[in-house]
Amino acid sequence: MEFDAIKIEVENLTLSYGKRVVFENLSFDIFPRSITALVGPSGIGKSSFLKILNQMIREEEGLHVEGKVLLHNKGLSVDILKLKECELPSLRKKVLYVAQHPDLLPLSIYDNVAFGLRLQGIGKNDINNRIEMSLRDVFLWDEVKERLHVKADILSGGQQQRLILARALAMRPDVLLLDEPTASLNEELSLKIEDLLISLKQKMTIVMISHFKEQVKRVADVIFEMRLPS
Amino acid sequence: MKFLFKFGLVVSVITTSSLVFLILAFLLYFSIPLFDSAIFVGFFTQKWDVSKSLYGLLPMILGTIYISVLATFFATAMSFSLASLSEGFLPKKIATVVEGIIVLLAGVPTVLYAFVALFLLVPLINIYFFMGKGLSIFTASFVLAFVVLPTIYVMMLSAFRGVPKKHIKTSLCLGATKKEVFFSIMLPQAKPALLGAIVFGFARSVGDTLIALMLSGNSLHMPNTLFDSARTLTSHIALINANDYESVAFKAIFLCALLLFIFTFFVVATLKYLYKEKRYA
Ligand SMILES: Nc1ncnc2c1ncn2[C@@H]1O[C@H](COP(=O)(O)OP(=O)(O)O)[C@@H](O)[C@H]1O
Ligand SMILES: [Mg+2]
Repeated sequence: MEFDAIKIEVENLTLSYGKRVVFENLSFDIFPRSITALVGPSGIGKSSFLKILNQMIREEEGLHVEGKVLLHNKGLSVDILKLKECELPSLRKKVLYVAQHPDLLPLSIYDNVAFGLRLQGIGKNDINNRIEMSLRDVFLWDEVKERLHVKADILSGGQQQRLILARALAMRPDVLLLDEPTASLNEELSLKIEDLLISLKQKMTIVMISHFKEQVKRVADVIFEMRLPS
Repeated sequence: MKFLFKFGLVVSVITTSSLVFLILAFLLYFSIPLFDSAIFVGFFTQKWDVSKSLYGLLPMILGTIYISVLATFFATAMSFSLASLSEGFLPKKIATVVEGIIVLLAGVPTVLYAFVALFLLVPLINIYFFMGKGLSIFTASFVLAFVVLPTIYVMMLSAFRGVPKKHIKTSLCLGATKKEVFFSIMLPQAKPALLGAIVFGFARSVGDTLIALMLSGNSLHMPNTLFDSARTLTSHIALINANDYESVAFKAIFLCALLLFIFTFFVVATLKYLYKEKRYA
């Protein structure tokens, strides 16, 4: 499977809600085949930054984004802030956001993962394979293989968090945006997920938010710290 | 304050529920004497002619069913398209305008629809389409559809709005298009409430009297095609001319009302059933 190596260039990015500026003039590069960690105090705009990268920020009301976010892929460059409404679905399938709080669909465990795959137009056999593979990747398969067709919301918080990670991995994105992916996992599972991320970076560009210093040190190739202006 | 609130609550519960039972008791009281006579069977025949002592209600029963089903069908088709467009596809500003216009329609007195139809639609049908068929089941249901449209539309809107925003966002976040969000998230989740809206609209079109009275021609014959004139049970109640309280014609009014009551009861029961389905799904 070929993954596209995508480099992201952020230029003078400013985000504001009404008069209030969340962050101003961010400029930095995010490299392919690497893990970029985003750290900083709560409320500084980390989640919002990830939502700019997949343009879900457009679904929120009353905010204003300025600057440039260039995606470089196979010699082509696009500024995602200038994409038309109809181009967003294909961007979001490539640049996948995994939320901090599990945002399950009111469907079965199986259908939660299959949902994204169906959007990609993947056939039934492939869907089954990919669901098993991605659930194994996040160490969830053994816990759910007997009850794939029950509603997903019966799962525990930690299981739900791994399920939405599996849902994203099954879609094989080029860029993976992770918002505190281990926040509700125990230490043992967190370490396993960290190893998974390290192995995944061969195939995709990863940007993650983390509050755990140890975790950041262990997995990140680049650390980007967002600070309050002093 | 709290006492007043509770008191008001108890009073309104008692009045509304006893009202329903009183109406039912009233109807039964007057129509039960009809049940055990040979006259009763006579009601379910095809001919109403007081001068020959024939009291068949079948044409009116059929007229009611045809007109209300057809009107609900037209209204559902229109409100479903409009509600889907405004909640799933149109930009917010345009959707708000559409909603405003349709809600405005709800405020137009029914008699105005009937008048406008009488002067515009009926002659049009008479002249250009079907000679002399202007006052018919088709005309009445078509106009009635516009009367119930706002009701169904508004209920369908709230059905779509009841779908949690976070589910819509999640599917957008996974790369769903507006169309995919609509068909794979909004439609399945709104389905029980959408069906409820249709049933409710149907109940309204069964109950409406004025449109059918003014536009369906009120013929006493069995309707055979949609372009036949027909009479509904509600119109029949309004049109029966009986001065003698002991006459069969007069008593037939109560049977018509009882039939309507039973009809409505089943409609409401279906409605309840559909909502229950949703709760336990
Ligand atoms: N939809 C919104 N409307 C208004 N303000 C918002 C909205 N979303 C986030 N914010 C504000 O933007 C700031 C950054 O939020 P967020 O990106 O969630 O921070 P972080 O993830 O770093 O904790 C916060 O002050 C938050 O209150
Ligand atoms: Mg956050």
